[in-house]
Amino acid sequence: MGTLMEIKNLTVRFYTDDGVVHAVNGISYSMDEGDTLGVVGESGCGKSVHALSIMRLIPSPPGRIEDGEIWFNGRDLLKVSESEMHKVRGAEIAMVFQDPMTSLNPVYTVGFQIMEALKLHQGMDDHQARERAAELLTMVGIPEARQRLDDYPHQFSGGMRQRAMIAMALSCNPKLLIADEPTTALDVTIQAQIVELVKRLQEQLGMAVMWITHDLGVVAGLAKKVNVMYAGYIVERGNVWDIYKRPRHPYTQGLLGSLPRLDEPPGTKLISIPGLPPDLIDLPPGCPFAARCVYAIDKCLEAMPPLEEADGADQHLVACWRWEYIAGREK
Amino acid sequence: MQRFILRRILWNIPVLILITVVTFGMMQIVPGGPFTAGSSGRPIPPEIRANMMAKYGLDKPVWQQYLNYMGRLILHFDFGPSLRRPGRTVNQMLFGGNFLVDVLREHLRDEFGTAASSMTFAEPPSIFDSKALVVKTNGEPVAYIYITWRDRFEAVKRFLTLAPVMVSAQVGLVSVTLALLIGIPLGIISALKQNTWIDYVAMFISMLGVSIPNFILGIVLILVFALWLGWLPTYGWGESWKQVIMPAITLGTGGMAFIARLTRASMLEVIRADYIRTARAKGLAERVVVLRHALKNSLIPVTTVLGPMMAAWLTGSFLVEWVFSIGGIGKFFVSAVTDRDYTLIMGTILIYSVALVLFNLAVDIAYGFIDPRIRFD
Ligand SMILES: Nc1ncnc2c1ncn2[C@@H]1O[C@H](COP(=O)(O)OP(=O)(O)OP(=O)(O)O)[C@@H](O)[C@H]1O
Ligand code: SF4
Ligand SMILES: [Mg+2]
Repeated sequence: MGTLMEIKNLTVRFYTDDGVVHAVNGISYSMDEGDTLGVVGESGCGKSVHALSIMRLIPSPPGRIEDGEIWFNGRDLLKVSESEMHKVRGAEIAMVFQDPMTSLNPVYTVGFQIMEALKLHQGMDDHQARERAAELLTMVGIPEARQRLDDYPHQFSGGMRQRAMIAMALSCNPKLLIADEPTTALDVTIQAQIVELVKRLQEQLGMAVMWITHDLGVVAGLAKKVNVMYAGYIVERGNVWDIYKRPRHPYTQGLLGSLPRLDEPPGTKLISIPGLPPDLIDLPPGCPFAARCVYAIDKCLEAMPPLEEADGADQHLVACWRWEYIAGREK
Repeated sequence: MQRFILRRILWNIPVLILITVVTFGMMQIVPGGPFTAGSSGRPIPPEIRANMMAKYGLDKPVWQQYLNYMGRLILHFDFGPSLRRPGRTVNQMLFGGNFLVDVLREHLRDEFGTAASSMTFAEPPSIFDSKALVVKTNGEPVAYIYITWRDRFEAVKRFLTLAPVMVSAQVGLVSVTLALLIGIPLGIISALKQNTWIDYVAMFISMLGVSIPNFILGIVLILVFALWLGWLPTYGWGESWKQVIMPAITLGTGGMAFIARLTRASMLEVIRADYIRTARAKGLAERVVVLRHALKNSLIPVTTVLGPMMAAWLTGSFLVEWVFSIGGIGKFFVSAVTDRDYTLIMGTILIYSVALVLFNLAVDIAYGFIDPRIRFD
């Protein structure tokens, strides 16, 4: 399969009154067509900012994309005009956001908001768009879709709103769906339903999916590849099984350690990573994880380790000076 | 929706009645009365005063006075005679009298020439009648005059343009419209250009607008544009569009500035909302995002303050009518109270109360249209 998107050295900063927030620090990776990528990391590590940069929706000011290239379908999205970008958003790349309660406009009907994209990108008239919107709502599992088109968002439950958001996102057959923590605001059973829904739709429609989450458990069931982010860097990347079976970065190991496991007796204490992520305003030189890392040595404080191949395994990358030592110790 | 409107109107009837009770009561409590002093300020002899009190029924117990007043008002829509302006009724002063009489009199003049001046109507004609009986001053019938749709239309037109209550309504309406038409766009532009010179200029203007009392603004406008530049007339209303400008600015500026600031604040909040990000992520052009998705939401808080703002507008309107010598009902608001012209006080207060009630109703309906989360039940 061909490459769908290639990101090179993406760097995003926010110029705030308190200082410059180094939100995304030169990340590079690529995604194939139809691929599923999980992006994980603690709160504030730059997952959303990096995703919004792909759509060029960083609030500016204060945000600015300082550097990098985002090659998508043969062009660098960071170089195209704003009006060209309007044709990308919603049509080629679509996004579902974290909070379905606030992500739909309260003063327009759900149907209107879905039809809007159809009329814009597919040149449908009102009647066609309405038919299609009803189909889409049925597709995402909303019963009596035709009647529900005229409901306002406040008449939908949280789970239904997120379904409607997904219907809206998929309305114009995007090549890439970015789901930014689409289930965090929902309760557990609904979360599972939404994950299943996206999985099913991906099989049906064949788009690539980027699933952003704190939750490694969700990623395991959904993604093929995983990017682990920390303080605006990708610190580890690989196929989902490599990451789960052989995590090489101490941070990934910590994240996995804090995951509840079904094969352990209930009540087993969850391990969490001690300490807090670094302040992105004055990011120390060297490895951003050093302050919390039990393996840290002097070198770690001096220079940021490059993202390099680990284990010689296919596409398993890690940014740690000591991954070989750590891997050896485990054996 | 209709039920909501109907219920709101019904709900306001007891409110209005309560207002009449309170006003009536307060007039009794305030010292002095309509006949304590003559127009020259000299005290009126007690026997004459007693006569006048009796003539207007003011010698009766207060509850009886109140019931008489309300009875006439409800049954005949009669606000009673003015107590201090002999020969004038409050209906004439507030509503400008019967405009149909004027229209029909013009027909009589066409028909009978100068003889028409000695003719009157057997009963005051109303637009619901189909004809009116014309009589001589001695009561001898002359002819029937038929009331056409054209006459009715003309009478209504004159009422809407000339009646003092309507003049006041026009001044208010023009000012509110000005405040909204300028305040809202100004607020939007400021928000979209936040922290640029456009924003600073707009917010400076609106800060001035909020802080300058409107009578000072009115006087400054007269000095500059009427006396100094000579562009605009110093007073009047209804004869030329030029007369509209200064009163509208004087009365509208405060509200305009307030609305601009409020729109800016709410726009700044809305433009950061998640659903705006969703709208952008859909690929909508920025213009559509602002005008379709942000504007309607940012108007919700603006709508909620319009009702209370109307009260401020009413007090402002007394001043503006006075500064620009506009023949509305604002001038009675103060003079009726200082004169203790009880019937005129009641009439003026009732009219303003009804205006407030109607305006608030309109605002609530608009609010319901903007925000679907508001239910009309
Ligand atoms: N509009 C903004 N202005 C200033 N700083 C911002 C802005 N948006 C994000 N940031 C900063 O950028 C950093 C990355 O934020 P981001 O939203 O990408 O985190 P995240 O990984 O998505 O976290 P979460 O899991 O909580 O959603 C944070 O430190 C945040 O404070
Ligand atoms: S580079 Fe050093 S500090 Fe960073 S994760 Fe590896 S061992 Fe720890
Ligand atoms: Mg986020």
